[in-house]
Amino acid sequence: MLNLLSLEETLPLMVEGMGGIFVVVLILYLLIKFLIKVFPAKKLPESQNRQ
Amino acid sequence: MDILIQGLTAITIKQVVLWIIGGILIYLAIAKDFEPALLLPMGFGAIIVNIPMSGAVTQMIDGTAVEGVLDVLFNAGITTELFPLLIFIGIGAMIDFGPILQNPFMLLFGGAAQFGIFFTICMAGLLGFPLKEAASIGIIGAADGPTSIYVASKFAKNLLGPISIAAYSYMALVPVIQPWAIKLVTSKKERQIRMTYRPETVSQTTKIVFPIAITVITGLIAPNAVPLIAFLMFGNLLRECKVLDNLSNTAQNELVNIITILLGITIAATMQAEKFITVQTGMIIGLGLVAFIFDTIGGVLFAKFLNLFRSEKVNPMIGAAGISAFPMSARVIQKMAQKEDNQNFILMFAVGANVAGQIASVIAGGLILMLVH
Repeated sequence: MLNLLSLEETLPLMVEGMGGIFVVVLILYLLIKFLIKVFPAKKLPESQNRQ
Repeated sequence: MDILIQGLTAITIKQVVLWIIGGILIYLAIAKDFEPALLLPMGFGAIIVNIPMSGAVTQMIDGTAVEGVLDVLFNAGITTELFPLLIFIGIGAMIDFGPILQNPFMLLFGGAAQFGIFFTICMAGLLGFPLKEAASIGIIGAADGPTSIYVASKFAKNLLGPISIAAYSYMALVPVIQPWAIKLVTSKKERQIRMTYRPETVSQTTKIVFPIAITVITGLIAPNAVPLIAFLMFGNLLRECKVLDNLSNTAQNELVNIITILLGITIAATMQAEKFITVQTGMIIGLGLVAFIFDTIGGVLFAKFLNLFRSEKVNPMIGAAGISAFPMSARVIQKMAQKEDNQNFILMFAVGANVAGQIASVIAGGLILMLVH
């Protein structure tokens, strides 16, 4: 016998959980973009680049 | 004479079954190389805790509880959540976040592939598990042993044995589970999609600031997750700061090895026959498989959904790599891509998604701790 009543708790948890993960992931995406802009990698001199 | 044979006469069928299960775990660890670092200690532990009147676990002798060494370790390392957290330092020191910093778009797939966790929580609830137990079962879908153990040790210590076995066994079975699940929801043409890799260049400063920033941000969003995220990122900071190579190496090797030995054999303390051989255990093992399958399907379907809006299509198999089983999942995806088209190289995307899965699984664990009361 399936406990259908449990869906009252678990479905909102699924929505909040997946929603929460995507919010955090999007914030991290923006954080990485920001860090890359603020702390750019030093470009190698042309001579080293060729090597 | 009676004293010498009291152990023999006290053997139960369930204990013998657990010896066999212990033997199977040891066989899988040695002969099949299935997560041997954990399954071997667990298998051996399953045998010793099921020897009648085993002194390794707490026994009542003349009305007094005599604490067994495995219970001492359990209370010291699992009840306090110390062992999984210490392992996180080592894992953090092992992870190179470079692929995700070079290609942060892959983070989305790490998020999507956590779908199996929440789907399985719903399934476990339907099967009658209370919410906290259902959440502990669902987290098997994080495909991340220490996160599963950490959440289960908070919510359902009694289920730690089957949850750990399911988590580590299915991680070892990723090369079998994922290709099957991917083929279920993709066409050959989709699996042949080629992608062009354009990585960002990443400075060392970014690599150092990232673990600190991610700890603060996720900590502000999910304070309960701070121990999980912070220990992982602390390990990564040891790695990336480049001035603590000795500590980083110790975290990656000695620390992880010592805790893994203790963790495996300690979890076995929960595998006592009377408590372990139940219908519940069978259901947990089954639900663990559901979690892995729906992680894969969730990731793939999300990639297909993104393709509806993108001019430059993503190979949907990348979505399946968004689980935490690193680097196994990425390898499986690359192998599948090359099977369909031997000139298709999507390994770097898959590795990026796989690293994202490592981050997202910990975030998922933290969110569950916060959302489930």
